[in-house]
Amino acid sequence: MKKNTIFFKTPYFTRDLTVKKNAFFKKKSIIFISGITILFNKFCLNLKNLKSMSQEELLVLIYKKDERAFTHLYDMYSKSLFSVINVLIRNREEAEDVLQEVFVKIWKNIDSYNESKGRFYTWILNIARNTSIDKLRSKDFNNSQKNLPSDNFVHLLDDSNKLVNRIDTIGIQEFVKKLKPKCIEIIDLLFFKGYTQQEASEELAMPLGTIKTQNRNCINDLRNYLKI
Amino acid sequence: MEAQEYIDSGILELYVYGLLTETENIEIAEMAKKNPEMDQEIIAIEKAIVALSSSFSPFHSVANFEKIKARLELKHGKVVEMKPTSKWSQYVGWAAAVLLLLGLGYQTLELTKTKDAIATVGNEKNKIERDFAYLDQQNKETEKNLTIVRDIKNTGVTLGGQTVSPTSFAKVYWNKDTKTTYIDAAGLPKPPKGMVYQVWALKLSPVLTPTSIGLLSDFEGNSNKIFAVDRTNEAEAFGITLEPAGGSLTPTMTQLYTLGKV
Repeated sequence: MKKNTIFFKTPYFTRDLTVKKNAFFKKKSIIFISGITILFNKFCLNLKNLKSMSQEELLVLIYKKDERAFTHLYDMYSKSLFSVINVLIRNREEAEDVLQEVFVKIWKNIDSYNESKGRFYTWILNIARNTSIDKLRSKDFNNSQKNLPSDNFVHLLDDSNKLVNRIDTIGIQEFVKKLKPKCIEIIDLLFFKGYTQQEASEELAMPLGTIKTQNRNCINDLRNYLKI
Repeated sequence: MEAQEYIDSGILELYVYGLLTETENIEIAEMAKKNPEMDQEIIAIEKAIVALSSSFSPFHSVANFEKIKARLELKHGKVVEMKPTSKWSQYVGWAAAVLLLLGLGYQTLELTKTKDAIATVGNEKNKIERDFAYLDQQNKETEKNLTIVRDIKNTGVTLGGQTVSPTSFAKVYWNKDTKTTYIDAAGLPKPPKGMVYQVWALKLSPVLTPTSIGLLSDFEGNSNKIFAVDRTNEAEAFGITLEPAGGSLTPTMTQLYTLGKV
């Protein structure tokens, strides 16, 4: 009988301990799992952001006027447009104002973009050019700026101290430095300054057809370099 | 013009730059829709020029972006309904995490259950082991007793019930070689409290001489009721009497329960 009493008491005691241990283990594991969940989702979001969207994917979002779509739009194209604006305006502060104006215009007039009339990027590029030119012509724009000698886009590099944290773009800048001077001139006039073929051929004293094919060769060099 | 001619002419670059007339734009957009090769070419040109121009962008502050958002009143961005078909990817992370969480929760639960089960089984095992040990011991005792009963060297003496208790009986197993003596007291009633059975070896002639060969102590504790008593050198009869605890020097003949001759 004595043996039996001990025998029955022992398991209850042991079980009590086991239950406490399990509760502790559960709490700990929940915290651990929550941590992993958060990290995992951050990772997924990062992956999503890193992945560049296609124009079509972006447009789907844009048509919903979603804030995230605006963020994507800005991430994808603000740098490109800002460099165009800077080539035309050549004043950093004014250029920033124009950039703001350009994105406000894009967002407010998004419904007037027509896919059957060209690329979305081309549409916003034209908005950037036109807004910049309007700004140059406006009365309140600093007159002294208008008569500055026209620099090409490579001069944007001179402002090297402003190009911090741009390791990803150093390669392409180095490449451009090696580009034929003719290529820089052609791309500068046609793309950055929006000259027509006619205007460019007069400016560079080149036959009309040559401008177009030369430009293609330059872009092909660039594409080979970028592997696209 | 064929698509390849378009591509080679360099007009697609001008198309991306936005330098063509509206008619030309519509024509190319139309063609690109039908011709994947041309479409891919346009996208590649666009990528190249966006990459080039982006890499020349001077630094502009993050504040600029916030200013634009403020002007567009995008601070409280609208919540967009999610299309499950196109936006499944962003749920995958959560779904996987939830599954992982559920899975781990379930595993923990199972682990607890299993631990409890193991504890229970462990206890049962101990109990069974104890039972087994007990039964084993019992078995050994039984075997030992059986050996005593079977041993042909043992002289079996049956003790019949006497006046005090006519229904009582007992058996004595006496090995005359080794002189070991066992008593099978299964036929005796439970002794009253404070009393004990005492076994006597008797010599009948020339004078009746009883010699105590032991007490059947712990009568209740011995389940087989087979008791080993002192060695017996010579006996002509055996008798069992009920005596006060501790036994007596001479048998109380009025309390003689069983008696038998060898």
